[in-house]
Order: sequence, then structure tokens, then C-alpha cells
Amino acid sequence: MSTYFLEMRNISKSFPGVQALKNVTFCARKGEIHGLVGENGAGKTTLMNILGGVLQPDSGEIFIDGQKVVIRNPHEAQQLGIAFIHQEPTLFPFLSIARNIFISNLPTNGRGRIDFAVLYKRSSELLKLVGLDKDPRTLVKDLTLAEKQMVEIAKALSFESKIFVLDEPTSPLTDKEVEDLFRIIRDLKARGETIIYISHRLNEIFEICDTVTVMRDGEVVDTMPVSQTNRFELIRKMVGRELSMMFPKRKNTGKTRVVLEVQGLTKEPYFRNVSFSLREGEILGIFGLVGAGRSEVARTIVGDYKRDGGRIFLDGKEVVFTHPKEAIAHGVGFLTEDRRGEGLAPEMEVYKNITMAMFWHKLRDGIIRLDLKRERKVAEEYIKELRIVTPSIYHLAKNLSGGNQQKVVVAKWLCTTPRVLIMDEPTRGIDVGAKAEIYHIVSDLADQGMGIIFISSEIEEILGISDRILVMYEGEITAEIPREEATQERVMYYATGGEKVHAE
Amino acid sequence: MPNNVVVSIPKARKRLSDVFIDYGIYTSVVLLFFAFGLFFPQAFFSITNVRNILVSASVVGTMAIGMTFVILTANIDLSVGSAAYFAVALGVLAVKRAGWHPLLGILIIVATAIGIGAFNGLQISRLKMVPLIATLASLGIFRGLALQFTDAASIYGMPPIISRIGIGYVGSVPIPIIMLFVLYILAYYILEKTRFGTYVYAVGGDREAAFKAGINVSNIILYVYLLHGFFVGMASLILCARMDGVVPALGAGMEFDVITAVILGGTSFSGGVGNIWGTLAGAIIITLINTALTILNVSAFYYDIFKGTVILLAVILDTFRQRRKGIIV
Repeated sequence: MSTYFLEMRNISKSFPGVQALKNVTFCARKGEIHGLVGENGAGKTTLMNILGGVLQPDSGEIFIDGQKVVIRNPHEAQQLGIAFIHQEPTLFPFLSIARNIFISNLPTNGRGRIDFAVLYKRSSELLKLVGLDKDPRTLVKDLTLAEKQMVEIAKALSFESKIFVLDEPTSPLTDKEVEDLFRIIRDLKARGETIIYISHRLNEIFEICDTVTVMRDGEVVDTMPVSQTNRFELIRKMVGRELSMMFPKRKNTGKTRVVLEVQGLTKEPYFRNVSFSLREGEILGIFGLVGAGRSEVARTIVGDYKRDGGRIFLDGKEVVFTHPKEAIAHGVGFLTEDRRGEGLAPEMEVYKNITMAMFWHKLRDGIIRLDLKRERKVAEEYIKELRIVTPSIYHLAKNLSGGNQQKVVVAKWLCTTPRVLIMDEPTRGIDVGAKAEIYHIVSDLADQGMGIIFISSEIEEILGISDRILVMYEGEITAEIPREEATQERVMYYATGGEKVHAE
Repeated sequence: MPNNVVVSIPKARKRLSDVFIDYGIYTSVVLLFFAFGLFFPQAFFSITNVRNILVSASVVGTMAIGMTFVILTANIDLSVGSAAYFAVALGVLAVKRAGWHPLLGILIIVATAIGIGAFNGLQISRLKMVPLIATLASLGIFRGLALQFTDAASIYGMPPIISRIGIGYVGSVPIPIIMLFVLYILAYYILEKTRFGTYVYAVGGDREAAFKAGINVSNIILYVYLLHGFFVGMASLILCARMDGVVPALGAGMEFDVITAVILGGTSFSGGVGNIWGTLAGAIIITLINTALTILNVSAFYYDIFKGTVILLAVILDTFRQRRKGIIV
């Protein structure tokens, strides 16, 4: 069976609360450009991080050229000839281009002194190869995002690598730069190297890849030659499953009052000219893949980011929030996607977490005393109402399961009696049962008249929960789809670029 | 949220404030020097005085070299003063009580300081202790041990081989100044010309990215603390020689001056940004301030208030600098 150059066999990996990879087998041939596609969270990046030595698998084996290998850290991966261009930049802004390119294998004279002549000569050659016209002494902080990406690619080329992993390399690039990149990739292929190409731009997969592997929910769904498939089949395989009974029945809300209206909101470089309105009792889903700008829109609305332009109306009156606390005071709550980092105080008790954002005057007893009895009572009510499973209200928040933690965060926001609640990836990293509960809570809140913006990169939950869906692609809204007309294929089509990209 | 977003700074002409933020440290040295010169003309405008100031700067200046490496990797060391006291105490005891050869005493001083660097570095790099806490513990431990070993006594009278390091000259240049500049050039070479130096910047700039680039992050941090120990050792040697022995208060509060010098010199507390010449300038500023306050004979309380204010200003400056460079939003 060693027609394969790279074999990753039966790889499993779990993180607390999530099984990220389930017995995945992934193989690639020599001289092949192998596409890897899947929804966010399907496990593509986790799988490649295991190959790159960034993560250790729980079980499974890796073979390169028929030899079993163990990759304990990124250094060993480099030794084995694996070059990895990460999704997030791994450059050092205050080092020069040349030092960044050769950070892992700086040419030295044996005693640790850098051989600057060789360093700058080879850097210039590599920069020329990737088509970046810059002095290698330039500090990386002075480069644009696209230029940084070219440096990343030059860095990958600096190794004597046999396997190149490119994780969403084209997101920040312009068409011309993408062309340059593709030329380099084809050169590598001609040299007989193996290239693994992760992208959510399906047209790129069809343009450059020979083989494509589809992942979903931590499993490999299928591997097939690109010539024997088409875009719709790929999308169907990425999306998969039928919608289960996880989602609450939403009744048609009809035309209620508009509570929040956003006009031409812009925040470069994340998104531009975003307009939409939200009605009372409506769940508005915002879907987009990584980098589409969903979270940034939310953060800009509540004033966490300073907007470049655009207007926001609440109940028809224009509002300008310069800080999230002003948004809270106006009844706009925001659940961040980073639950542990920003939403929860893990070392504090459950009841303190719930009442944390409550207005002081509501809990005041006399002039400065906190009404502790009332505080506990409020917490107990929410614990009952949201069915938060905790041994007691005094339990530390960090000891709850992910789903219950999320419910605590929801309870916290409900204490501020918001009229608009923005939820960014509220079900990330929690198990299926807890997800269903969150959906029902969200639906109940909407039925009580709250306007809800539900941001997610999981397509089925967006379809299941939303009354209306906005699809974003690279900082722009590419479609607004009412619930009745929304299908997974259609949403995915717009999330990967829509007509502009898919025009054939 | 991502701070790595490119905020492209337009290549417009530099504003005066920018120049000050970038080169402020060097301008400050000159301005302070002239300001003090105007106040105390008899004391300041002379070669002798420049020489005296550099000699006074040599101890803090040498320690600040090691501290620059440490802070560049986004770590800290609070124990430098205690480490110096302990190292000097062992060296002096070896020479005066045990009657060992002075060269052996010198070796003991430097080796002890490196040993304390290893003690701190192993805790931080291997046991993943928080640097602030680990070195705070060392600050207590080594001062206590040194007090115990010396019975909190002052011991004076070093053999000439050691004392000459403090008071000797090569030509008309005092030996501490020569050591200071040699060590700074060595540090410059390590930081800017070697692979290790590049790794120091990389580890401090983005630890995660450094790991992904295949750099053995915890080894680099350990080596940085060892190197730092060497510089603390050299500083201890100068200190011992200039004191002609050991006194109980030796090095007390010195971490304050050393860290202030590094931050004044433009090394960012968040790591990855900074250069060694800024640290030298910072050390000179601290010395100028110390000298001026001594000449003015102000009370020790004002002394601390003034220096506290200086470090506060330095950190504010650092924050401005970071914001302008887009490191923080």
C-alpha cells in the first residue's frame, strides 16, 4: 500500500468536551496537490497541527515514505521535511524579513554567529521566487498582510521540505498574488513534492488540486479525484447530516417592530457596508466561514471596536456606543465567542457569575450594602429557569461542563434585561444535548419579544434556529435568505463567495 | 482579539513627538546631563565627572544587560540585588575567612550568580513557575542566606587583585568603564549577530509562534537566565571591588534601578522589542538622577518618590510607544 507518500492512520484527538478527530485516516501521494475541505470545526486544522507537531494525537500512526514516524514537536516535523504555513501568521513583527524566513534554520558559522551574507543572499532569492520585491532587512511589522503571507511562503520554501501544508493561505491575498502562489505550488508539484491545501474557497480547490478530501465533525467523509466531483457534491458532503429534531419549532413571527437597525457599518479591514435590521422576537442568524467578519460586526455594534463608518439605530433612534457597557445600558447584550476568556469568571462562584452584570441599584440594600439574599435568589431563579446543572450556587464556575457554563453566561446577560441579545458562537465546544437546550432557551427568549442575533459557523444550527439568515463572505453580506428559502447548499454557496466567485 | 492586524503607518514625515518617542531616551540623557550641569556647574562639566558617572553606572548598567535579555523574552527577575549580595558574600568569605586565592574568589562570585540564574531559570522554564513569584522567592531566600553566612556583618579589605577591578585604570580609563563597554558590545553581538539572539527576540515576540517555528522555547528561557546570571556575576564583581568587601545592605532595592533602566531604555515589558544601547542610556539616566539627588542631599523618602515617578513615566512612555507601533490597541 505504499503508493502513498504520507499516511496518517486512525488518528484520534479529543479536547476537553469535544472529540475533534475520530479515527481519521488521511493519505497523500507524492507529487500531488491534495485539497482538504470542510466546515469550520470539522477538524482540518487539528489534523494538520498533528502532522506539524503542534498537537499530539491521542492515538494513531503516521508514516512518511513508508517509514513510521513520531512527531513530538514542530522542530521534529521540520526535520522530517514537513513545512507548515499556518492560518494565523507565525511571523515576528520586530525581526527582519530575512530572519523570519530562516527563523528555524538560520545559516550560522558553526559557533552560532549568523552568516549574514548567506542569509541575505538566500532570502533575496526566495523573495524573488515568491514575487515579493522587498529588502530582506525590512522589519516584518512594516509589511501588509499579503506581503506577510508571501514571507510565510518563502519561509516554507526555505526548508528542504517534502510535504507542504498550506492552511487557508489565500485569505488575505489579491488575485495577482494568488496567481503567484499557485505558480509556486505547481512548481513544487513538478518537483515531486506533496502539497496539502486547506481552503474554503472551493473554486481554488477545483483550479489547483488533484485530489480532495472532505472532513466533517472530526471524520473523513470521502476522498476523491477532483476531476470526478463537482462543487455541489462537495458542498453536500461538507454539510452532510439531515437536520435533526434538535431545533425548536419557530412560529412565524410576522411583522413586528424593528428594534435594531444597522446601516452601512464599516470597520476595515474586517468588513464593509454591512446593513440589516432586526425585529422584536426575531432570531437573525449570521453565517460565515473563518475570516468572514461575523464576530467583528458584533463587536463593532456594541462598541468594542471603533467603527469606521455607518449608523446604528435602536428603536429608531440613532445610538453611538463607545464601550460595551453603554450598549448594555441601552439593552444590547453581547455573548462573546471566547466564553472562558471573556464571558465567564471561572474562579468565581456560579451565583456571582450570574449577577455580575446586574445593575447595582437593583441589588442595593441601603446605600452601599449588597443585598446578598436577593442576589442569591436571583441566581437560584435563573438556575431553575435555564436548568443549569450545578451542585449548588456556590460551586465554582470552572467546574461546570461547557454547556452549563454557557447557560451561566446567558443568565448573566438576562440579568441586564436586554432587548437585543447578540450571541457569538454560543454553542462552540459544547455537546449535542447542551446545544439543543441552548437552542430552546434562545427560541423562548425570542418568543418573549427579545431580538436575537445568532452568529455561528455551524451551518445546520444557523438553518435550524434562524428566522432569517445573513450570509457573510470576506467582510461583505453576500445574501439575506428567509428561513423558508434557506438550504444548506444555498447558504454554503453564498458563504464561499456567491455569484461573484462561482460564476462559471 | 487579534493584535496582529496590520496598521500600516503612513510614511509621512516624522512628527517631533515621534522622534521623541523613538529616540527620546538618548535625547533625555543629553538633556538631563545639561540640566544637571546648569544646576551644579562645578560638579558636572568635567571629564572627571563623566568618568565618575560612568563608573557609578557600571554596576546597574551591567546588571541591566542581563535584565534586558530577561525582559526581551517577556520574563522578569526581581532577585538581582539579593543574588549580588549572596554572590559577593560567598566570594568575600572564601577569600577572607577561608583564605582562598583571590582568583578563586572571583570565580566563586561569578559562578554563584550564574547558579542563581540557573535556580530561577529552571523553575521558570521547566516547572513553569510565574517569573515574578519565582524570583520574588529568590529575592528573599538569597538575602536571608547571605545574612546568615556573614552574620549580617560588614567585611572589608579585599586583596589587590580584586580591589583593582574597582579602582584600577587602564591608561586613564577606569577598569569598570572598560568592563561596562566590553560587556555591552558582547551583549550587542549576542543579541544582533547570533542565532541565539534572534531566538530571544522571537520567544519574547510571540511564544506560540516561536514554538511553531521549531524553537525550543523553554531552553532559550533557561539559557537567558544563565546568561543573565553571568552579567549579574560581573556586576557583583565590580560591586565587591568598589565596596572593598561586603556590607549587609549590598544590592538592596537594586532590582528597582535595574528594571527602570531597562524600561527607560525602550525594552517593552511585553517582550520582543528593545535594544541594548537603550538600556545603557537608561542606566546612565538612573545614575544621573541618583547622583543629582545625592548632591542635592534630599531625604531618602523624596528619593524613592522621585524614582518611582520616573519608572511610572517610563512605563507610560512604553505604552505610548506600543500603541503607536500597533502592538496594543
